[in-house]
Amino acid sequence: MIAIDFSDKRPINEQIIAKVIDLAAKGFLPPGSPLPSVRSLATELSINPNTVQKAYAELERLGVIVSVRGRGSIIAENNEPLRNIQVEKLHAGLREAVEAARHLGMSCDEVCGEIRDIFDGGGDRK
Amino acid sequence: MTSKTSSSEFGKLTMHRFRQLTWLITLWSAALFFILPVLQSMQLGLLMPNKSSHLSKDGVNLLLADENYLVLAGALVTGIIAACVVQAFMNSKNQNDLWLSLPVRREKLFAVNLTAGAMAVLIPLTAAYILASVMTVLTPDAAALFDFSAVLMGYLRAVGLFAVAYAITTLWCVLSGRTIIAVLCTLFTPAIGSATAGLAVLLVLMQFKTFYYTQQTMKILIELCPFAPFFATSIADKLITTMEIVWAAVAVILLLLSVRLFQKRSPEKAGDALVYSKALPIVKYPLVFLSTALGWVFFKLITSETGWAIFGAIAIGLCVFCLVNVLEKFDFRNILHHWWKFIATAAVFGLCIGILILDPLSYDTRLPAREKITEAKVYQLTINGIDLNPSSNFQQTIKDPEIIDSLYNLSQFVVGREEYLSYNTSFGYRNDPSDIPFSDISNAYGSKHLLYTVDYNGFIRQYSAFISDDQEKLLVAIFSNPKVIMKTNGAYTYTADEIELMTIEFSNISMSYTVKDTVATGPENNGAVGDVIYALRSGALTTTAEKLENAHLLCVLHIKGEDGKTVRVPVYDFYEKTRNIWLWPVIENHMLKTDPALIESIRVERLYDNFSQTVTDSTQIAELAPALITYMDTDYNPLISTENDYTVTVTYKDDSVSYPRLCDQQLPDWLKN
Amino acid sequence: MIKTEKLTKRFGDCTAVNAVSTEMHEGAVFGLIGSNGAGKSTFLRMLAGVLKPDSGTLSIDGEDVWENPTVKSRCFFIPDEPYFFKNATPETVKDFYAIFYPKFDRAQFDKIISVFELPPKKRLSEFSKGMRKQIMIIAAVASNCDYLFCDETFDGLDPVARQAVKGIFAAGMVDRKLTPVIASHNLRELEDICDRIGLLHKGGILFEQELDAMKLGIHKVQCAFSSPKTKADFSDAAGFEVIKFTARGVVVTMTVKGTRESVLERVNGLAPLFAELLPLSLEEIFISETEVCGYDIKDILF
Repeated sequence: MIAIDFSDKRPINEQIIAKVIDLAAKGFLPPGSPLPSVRSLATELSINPNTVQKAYAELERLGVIVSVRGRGSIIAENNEPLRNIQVEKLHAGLREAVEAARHLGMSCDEVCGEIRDIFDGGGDRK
Repeated sequence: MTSKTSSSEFGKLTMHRFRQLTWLITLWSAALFFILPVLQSMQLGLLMPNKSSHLSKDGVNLLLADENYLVLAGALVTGIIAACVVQAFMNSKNQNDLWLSLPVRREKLFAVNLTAGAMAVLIPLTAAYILASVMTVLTPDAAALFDFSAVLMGYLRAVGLFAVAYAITTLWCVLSGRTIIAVLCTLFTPAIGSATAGLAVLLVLMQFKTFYYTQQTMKILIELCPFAPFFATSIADKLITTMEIVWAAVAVILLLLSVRLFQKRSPEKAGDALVYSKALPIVKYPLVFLSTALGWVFFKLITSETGWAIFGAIAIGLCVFCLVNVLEKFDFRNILHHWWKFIATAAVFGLCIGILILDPLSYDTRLPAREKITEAKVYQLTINGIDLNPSSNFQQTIKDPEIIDSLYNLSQFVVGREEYLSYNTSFGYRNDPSDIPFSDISNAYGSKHLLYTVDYNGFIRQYSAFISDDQEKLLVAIFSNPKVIMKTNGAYTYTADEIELMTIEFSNISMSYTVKDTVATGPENNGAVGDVIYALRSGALTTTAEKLENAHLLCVLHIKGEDGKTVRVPVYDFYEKTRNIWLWPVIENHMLKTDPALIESIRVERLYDNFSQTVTDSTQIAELAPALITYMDTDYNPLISTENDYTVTVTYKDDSVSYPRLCDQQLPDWLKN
Repeated sequence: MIKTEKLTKRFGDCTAVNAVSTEMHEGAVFGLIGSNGAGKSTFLRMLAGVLKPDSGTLSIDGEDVWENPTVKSRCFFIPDEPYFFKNATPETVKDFYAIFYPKFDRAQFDKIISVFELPPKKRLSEFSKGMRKQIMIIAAVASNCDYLFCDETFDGLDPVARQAVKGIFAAGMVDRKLTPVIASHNLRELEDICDRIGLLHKGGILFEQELDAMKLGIHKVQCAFSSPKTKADFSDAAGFEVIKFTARGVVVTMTVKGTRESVLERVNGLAPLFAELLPLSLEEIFISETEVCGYDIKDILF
């Protein structure tokens, strides 16, 4: 499930972190589900186990995963940190979108209109 | 690691290396199989049987024992090859990466390789020997003749030779980063041992006519060659056997040295000609020096001319110099870079040779002043094998001034300028006369040979050379003091009334003297024969127009023959008769005891008519005794001959036996048929 | 841990390794980058005990390496051109190494050989160069050594094999704190696997750092401003060092040293129209670093 894009210039541990967060957010890794062990992920992806270790350490620091004795790392039951991260991402995305709209000369209302349409399921504008 | 683990590691690694040598083992075993069992079975008549032959002790044993030359050669060659193969890893950077990164101590690695190589050669050798021996023992006729100890010695000799070759090659492999150089050095090592010393001696011999030298020296020099003693075994010689043991011990020491050096060897030097580059000049320049000397000797030998010798020295020295540099760096382009080093080496060598030729200390021609000589000892003095020593044994000190004069004249002659004496070769043939019969030499060179060793108050000169007939006459004339005369055993007698005329001939004129009652009467200095001769030699002649200071003297006796005819016999012209005589039997027989009181019986046989008679009666013995002579006596006394067909056996009262000849002129009547 | 202090090796006039001081911790991958002739192989050979250092110290877990079979039994050296004895087959290679390495696992060797689909009884002389390298690597792994010294090991392996080997290394690192030291002149290879990288040039280490720290400490910024900017506009803040600066019109592309936050802060402080932080490849990092020192990376690496 966790795949690395080697042509991506981002450090591998960042990619792992992003991927885990992504999978957890989308529900592919529900809370309580175990993550692959450092060993198995490292051997599967043929990467440095220390990299995996660092990624897992960061994920734990962020609160996305917890390590349980005897079971390795699992997605945290408390999904609040995850949620916070996703919200943060959303904020950043929104900020970027708003800036872009501003550059295009769109008004706040126009932007909100777009947002409303998307929520309603319209999607693409003609 | 426990010691058990490390020893099994040693064993496993040795077996691994051993298995790598399969090709060598196969080739060697095949060769050995042919050399020993097959050839031995031919010797025994098992293969290609020859019905009429019977087995001799030699035939059964020699192939395995004293004359196992093929085996020895094989042991030598495989020793060199095996060492190169197992040690080649040191000279390859790739192999170094493998072997030196393993958790094995270097000594162990080295020991493993040594063991594997030795096993590869020794196991087939032992097997072949056992097979051949068993075969011999099982053959009915041969079993009794089988000489176990000789065969064992032959086997040990092959092992020893292998050990020496193996050790030397191993050492060179450690010292050199290139296998080819190691092999070349190994092959050159025998030369290093003996040739260096031998060449030095040779050079000095060539230059100095009077350099003291014996066969023993040459023998020792040859024994310095590591491989020579093992091949020289059919000559049973204690020196040779000792040298074999010495070289085997040296082999062990060399192997230990190799281990030590290997430990110190830097792996990155693989590929360099000499690993310990500080030693390079020590090896390089003596090598060039040696080959320059070789070049000199070689050309001088062939052409007898100094000019060619110089050319040879320069040419060969230059070639070897370039070769050495090329091998060292494997770079042909750099030859000219070393020209200054070569010039320096050549200059040094030229200086040495120059000193040798110029002889600044007059080593060659130095003689003490005649006035200072009060006594002399003559260790040997022979012309063409005939002993002319004025002393009865070499311990005797001569004080007679006349004899010393003669000796001194001879010495001056010898150390004088070269044109007085010509050589058949460019330097005299040096041999210890006790080793080789001179008849051999004289047959080979068809000329006469002078050998003398004289000691003037501690100043020793030895000299040996071939001389022409004229020179021989000259020498004899110089030396012909009547008191310095050949020894005889009494069969040589002539009475004054048998001498009709004594002619004293000089090289340019002839003077005749009449001799009566040992008194000579003639144009000069009448008196006793000896005195006349002496006076004439000393240049006291006054009647002739020409000065006889440098006159050559020959004394000729005209003897009244039996049948009244005159026989002209030069007193000193006995050399003709000695050409075909063996020295040793002659000398032995010359100790002939002819005292009738000592003789028990004399048996005389004549082959052509089966006549034989044994004389035991003391009267008859006393009659026959004077006729007992040796060949040597006929040489000394031209008046006697032994042309008869009698074979004589003399048995003495002390049970000793001798086999003299009978003198024609002294045969008792009852023998004359 | 491997520790070297002023390690030096000379070959005649040439100093191949010049006073190198470095540390390699267990369980981490150390990458040694340098062009041919930089001294990588020489350095590795000293670590492996093939060459003796001329001066300086070298210790593995506190013990000297030279002529020390105890320490060497925990190290395995994979040279760039592995040598095998005559008529070697994977089987005989296995038996050979089993003699020396006490922890050699024959079963593991066989298993990996079959995974790589290498015929165990075929002569190595009939293998391709890449396959021979694979055998060597498998022997190294099966020896269960703690330290692996790899000289350009990954160069010459096909991508599949490369990934497989990396996976095997990864397992080893987790299982028993395997410490690979990898020398290469291919940055791309090392980028994915190394924890720490040292750049070797003419025998000396130019610089050496944890890869992550490297990547976290240097960024490429692409930003646009309303008016053209010059380098001087950016250079006066602490924690913000401009290594490379190009401006085309109002677009500025620059390589900056500093943490992500400090860089962003600085750039945003100048009110850009947009600003983007791009990750740098190892190659780009190296180029920047060495250009600072005055070296043209092309001299060093190509």
